[in-house]
Amino acid sequence: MTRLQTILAAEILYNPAIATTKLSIILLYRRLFPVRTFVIILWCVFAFVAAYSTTAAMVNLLQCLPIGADWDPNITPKCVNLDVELIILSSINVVTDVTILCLPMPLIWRLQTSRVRKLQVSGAFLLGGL
Amino acid sequence: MSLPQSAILYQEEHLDDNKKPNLIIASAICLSAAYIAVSLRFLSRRVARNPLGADDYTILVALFFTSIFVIMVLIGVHYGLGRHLILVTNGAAFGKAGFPFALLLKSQSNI
Repeated sequence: MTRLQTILAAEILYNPAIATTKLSIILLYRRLFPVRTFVIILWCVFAFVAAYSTTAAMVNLLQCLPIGADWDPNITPKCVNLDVELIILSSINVVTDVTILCLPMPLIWRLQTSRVRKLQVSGAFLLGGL
Repeated sequence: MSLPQSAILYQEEHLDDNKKPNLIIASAICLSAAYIAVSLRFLSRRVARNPLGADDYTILVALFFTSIFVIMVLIGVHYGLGRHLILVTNGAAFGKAGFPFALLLKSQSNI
């Protein structure tokens, strides 16, 4: 397998790897906070992340045509604007990350415990930002 | 995709730059951390005697995809990822497939 193919494959595989991690976090929230309104919001974010990652993987596969299977060096590929594509895909990823991090915060603040406890629990959840 | 003259000069001066060990070590540390985290997660489920839920199965799938991703990067390193872009001998094909990575890493091709 040539290097170019592994790089393209890695780039495509990046999307489900990141997306399944986020989906796992969302499912964890659903397990911890079975509050009806919150669960509805969670399913919305879940659907968005799932749909977005499939789309992003498709874009990465089809960003240059003729499709990646053609490694003939004599044919110049026709690509989308790769600068813009990279920036947009990464920023949407970051936005979903931040959204998922901030989702449980309102619920934690409303817990009936001491302020210190709330800060500790928030810290534990925010560790997911790593 | 064409490099500006300043970039070409820079890469010629630094022809011996080698980011391969950086890539390998970073990949190894991050993947190990991920495996440790998932193991601790399952251990804590067992200690608290909680049933395994959908989130646990999803994280196993995520770990699988992440492992494959890191293995792909390591294969790329084996084939030349981590050296300078001007060492690429096959410009058209590289630009087609490697451009997104080229933004983050310098690369070499011997195809």
